[in-house]
Amino acid sequence: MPEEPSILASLGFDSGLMAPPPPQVWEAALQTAFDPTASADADTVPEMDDTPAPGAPTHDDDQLVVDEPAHDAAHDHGDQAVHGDTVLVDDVHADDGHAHDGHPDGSDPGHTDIVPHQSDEFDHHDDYAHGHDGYDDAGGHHGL
Amino acid sequence: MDEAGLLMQARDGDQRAFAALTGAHRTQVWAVCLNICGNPHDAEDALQNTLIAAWQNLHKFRGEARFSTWLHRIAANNALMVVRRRKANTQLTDFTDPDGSVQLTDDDDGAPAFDERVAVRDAVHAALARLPDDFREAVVLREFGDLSYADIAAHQGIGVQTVKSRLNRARTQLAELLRDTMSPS
Repeated sequence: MPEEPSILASLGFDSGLMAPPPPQVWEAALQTAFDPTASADADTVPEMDDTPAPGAPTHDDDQLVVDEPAHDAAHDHGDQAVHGDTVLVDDVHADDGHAHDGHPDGSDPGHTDIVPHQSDEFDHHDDYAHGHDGYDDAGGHHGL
Repeated sequence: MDEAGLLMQARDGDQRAFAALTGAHRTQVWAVCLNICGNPHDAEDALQNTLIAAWQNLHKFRGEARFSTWLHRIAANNALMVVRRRKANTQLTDFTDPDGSVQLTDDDDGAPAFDERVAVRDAVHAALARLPDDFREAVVLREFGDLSYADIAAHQGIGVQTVKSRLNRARTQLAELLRDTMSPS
């Protein structure tokens, strides 16, 4: 289990937000799965390599990747600043307990169907590069 | 029978084993689908596609990680596919109308109809729907799929630090969106 409290719990919402699916919905989905003519998009299935690679980094969060190559992670402690495309967050300092190699749940720091980029500033999924100002791009609605 | 045993049997084509294997996680899988899709109709499609994909691709799961992690990632991928297909196929339709996000149900017998838990749940769904897709996916996988930061990072193809950043920013946005709904639980 992750060490940090859940986001929704920290906002005052309890786990009652999770309700089981209606029984008929679940059963219908199962029956469809067993239908030989059913087809699924195999791209939605991750290729999870559950065996931790030897020597794989165990504390990805300790490696702060910023635009300035000489930037030192220690300088960022206590800061929340934007360096290039990277936001440094200090309120979640410790890892979540799943980032260690050999963890029983087999969390895969680097071996999946999508190879995570170690250099976040070059990550084309980076939030700032895509102008994620926090609201859904398509909806265009801001706040309630 | 434990999960490993069920997995072995399911891989051999045992449908009952697969049903038991996935059934143990039905609540979370549904929560992932529902909270990414934002509505039950799309969530049903996503759930169906998730179970199809999982059943047909069991051979891809090596069985050394948590089965739930694998299953929730499939659910998230399929839910996002449904969301993106919906956006591509619809006009500008506000699925997150704040006036409509809180469902108040009335019993036929006229008894007090306000289901506060449903209202809160709907408000959270609506708030989540306002997040960018990747933010929402990260939050949902974290909150309902119980994925680690590393798993989310691997799933989204980003670094762990970016995951934490996204979650932190998402939390800030959710706090603002849910400001009128939040109350001590």
